[in-house]
Amino acid sequence: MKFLAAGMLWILGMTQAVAETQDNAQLEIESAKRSVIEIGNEISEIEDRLVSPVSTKASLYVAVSGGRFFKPLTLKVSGAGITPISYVYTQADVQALAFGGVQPLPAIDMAPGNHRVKIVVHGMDERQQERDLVYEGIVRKGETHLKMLLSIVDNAAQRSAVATLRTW
Amino acid sequence: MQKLGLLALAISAAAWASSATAESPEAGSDLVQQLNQAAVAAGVKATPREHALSKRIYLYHYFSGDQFAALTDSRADLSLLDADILGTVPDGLMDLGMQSHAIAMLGDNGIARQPGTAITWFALAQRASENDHWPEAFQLADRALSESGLLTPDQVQEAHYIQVTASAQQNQLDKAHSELDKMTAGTRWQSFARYNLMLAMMRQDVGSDELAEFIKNEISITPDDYNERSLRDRFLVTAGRYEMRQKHYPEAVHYLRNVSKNSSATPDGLLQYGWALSKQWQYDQALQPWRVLQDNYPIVNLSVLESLMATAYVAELMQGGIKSLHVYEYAEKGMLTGLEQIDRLNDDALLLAWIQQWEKRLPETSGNEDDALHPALHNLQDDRTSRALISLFSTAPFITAQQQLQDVVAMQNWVTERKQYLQNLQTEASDNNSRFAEGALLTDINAATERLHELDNSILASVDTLRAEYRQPFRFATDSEKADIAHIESLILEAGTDTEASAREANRAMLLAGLAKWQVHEQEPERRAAAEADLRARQKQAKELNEQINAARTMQDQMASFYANTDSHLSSMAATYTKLEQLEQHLAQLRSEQEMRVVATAREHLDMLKSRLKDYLATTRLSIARLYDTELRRNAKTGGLGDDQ
Repeated sequence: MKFLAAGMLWILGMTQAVAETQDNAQLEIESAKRSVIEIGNEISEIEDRLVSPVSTKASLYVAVSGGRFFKPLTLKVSGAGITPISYVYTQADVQALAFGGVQPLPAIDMAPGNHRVKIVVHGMDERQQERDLVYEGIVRKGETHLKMLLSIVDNAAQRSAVATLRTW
Repeated sequence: MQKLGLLALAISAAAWASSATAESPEAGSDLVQQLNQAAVAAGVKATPREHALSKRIYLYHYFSGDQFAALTDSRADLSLLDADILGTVPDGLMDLGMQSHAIAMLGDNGIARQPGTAITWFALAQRASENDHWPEAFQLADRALSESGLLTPDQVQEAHYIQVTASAQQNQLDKAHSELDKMTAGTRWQSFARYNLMLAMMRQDVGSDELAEFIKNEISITPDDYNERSLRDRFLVTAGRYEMRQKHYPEAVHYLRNVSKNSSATPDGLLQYGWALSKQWQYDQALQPWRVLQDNYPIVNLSVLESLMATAYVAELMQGGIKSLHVYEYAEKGMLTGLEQIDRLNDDALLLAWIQQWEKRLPETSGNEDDALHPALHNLQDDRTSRALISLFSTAPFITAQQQLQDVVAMQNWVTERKQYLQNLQTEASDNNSRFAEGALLTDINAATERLHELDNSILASVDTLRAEYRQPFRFATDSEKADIAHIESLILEAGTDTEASAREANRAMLLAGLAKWQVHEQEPERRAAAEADLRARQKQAKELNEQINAARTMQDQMASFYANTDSHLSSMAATYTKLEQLEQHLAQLRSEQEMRVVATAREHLDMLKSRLKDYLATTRLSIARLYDTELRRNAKTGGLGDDQ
């Protein structure tokens, strides 16, 4: 809250200074946009921290290393006791992954213990043939926020890609 | 650790505000440094892995074009402590239509030194050129081109275009030509640049031959694409007007004759073509393009209005005196019709209804969060009012005002959707709390503890069994094997050795007993391994179950602590909901004000049209009066009208 308060003070100071020099309509609209960003950030925090305890959560991220031999089109996550997740990739998403971005998927509520998870990434290989990369295995949920990173890594020797899952 | 994004905006804005009023222009801040100091002061801690993850999440949002998520996703917050990431924020702000914030951030010393900001400089160069701030636009484009590898080929061409135009606007023709030489031939940006350079050459009285040579490639073919054709026609119309002004009428006719029949420059081309022909005393031919113009375009089009006046003027030149009166009267009638149309349109209620109809065409969601703040300007509906106001759509004040209105409408849609979402989150939080209060987790823990207890007992029993087996002479024999051996041994005893036959029976039985014992002994290692493995598996299972129970107990404690604060959580959500409601009210007011601004912009345009039309009408009526006056004087000299009666 200290951050927020400091930020608000600066924002107020800025608004007063700018109002004298800029077009009022544009400033009013930018001010409303700032409010939208601020509230959007608050809702993101609420979603993350206030709906259910962090300890019941698990997060899945997706990264692509290389991206030459496999381009994702869709992703499906399933498993016992897990709300299924589906995602359809846009070209911009694929490009963002190729540039080194890590895609955050919606948080998963998970009870402690072992969970069998199946992740199927449907996509295109180097020759534009459709294929599936499948990860299936057991993840262990403890009392802390479980984080899982699905990496789709090029295997140049076999001219293909593999999906691996790392947890922490 | 939250709100780093907002803090980044705030600090940069403060830095910008202070630099705007600072006594020394050197007194810039260093946002990166300040942000890191603030983070340390706030106790922000993260492992290198968390930090790297946060940075890559930001990059994912940034590169996928979702700048709104990049700024609001709390998982990406930590990334803003990195100077290279912070350098990309102004670009995101530009995408969100927050130009003054982007400029504020770029005014920060810490950001300005950062490499990798070419796209932001480029976007700012675009804005500066749109606002006719040419010297500034040149400098900004130069800054963007210093890292041209970060721009797309099209953006590189546009940056060069801005530089050519900026030089041309400042009448620095040599510099403009030199910048033009850096451009790729055949691109649309090169054509735009050549057009602006042509205007600058005209300002310096370029000769006909040089002009013809300069534009020959641009006008040599008629493209199929409407926009390309419009640009080509614009070259022809502008060159034609220039040659007319220079009194080079054959050259003007040559250019204007080649204007296509369907492009944005066609009305102006037809009007000017008629004028060019009339300047060569080809009055009959001059009337033809004006007739086409009047038949095919709305009366409120400026070219049509001017052509009405021009038609009458040329008719007078052709027919002389009173015979052209009916043409003037026709022109007057047309202008009055135009005036009526403008008066009909110049009505706040009608314009407001038209604008609101346009707003409804904005889709509620397009899948991209950026659209919540700055959606692309939407197409207008095709109706009578839109067609009558077509010339309004190319005016910068109207486009800006309409874009701002669309931004406000998009924000209203976002607020409506988020209110519903927040209500869902509140319900989910309450439901979670109720479920926890029912104690399902505790019941599960107790059941698991019971299972663990049973497992522990079975393990102890197995240990006892193993120990007992180890003491046996023939270990791990099955009950059936034990029974068989006991039975054979009883047969041996029963048989005895009294007779030769019984001794033989006894020996056979002893042989069988030996075989059975040997078999038991043979299978002992395998059975022993299986029994020990079974024990180890159950011990492992018990250990895992124990860990699981401990984790569940820890979770139960954490959940108890979490749900003890449910009221506080719900109250935080309610506070955010109230903020949404306040923003909703503010946006409703802003929308209403912005609608009136758009209406005012449209009315200004209509007033301009009306004023121009009144000038044409006054000129036409004066001509009519002059014709009557001349005729009256002529009749008076010859005996008046009575001579004809």
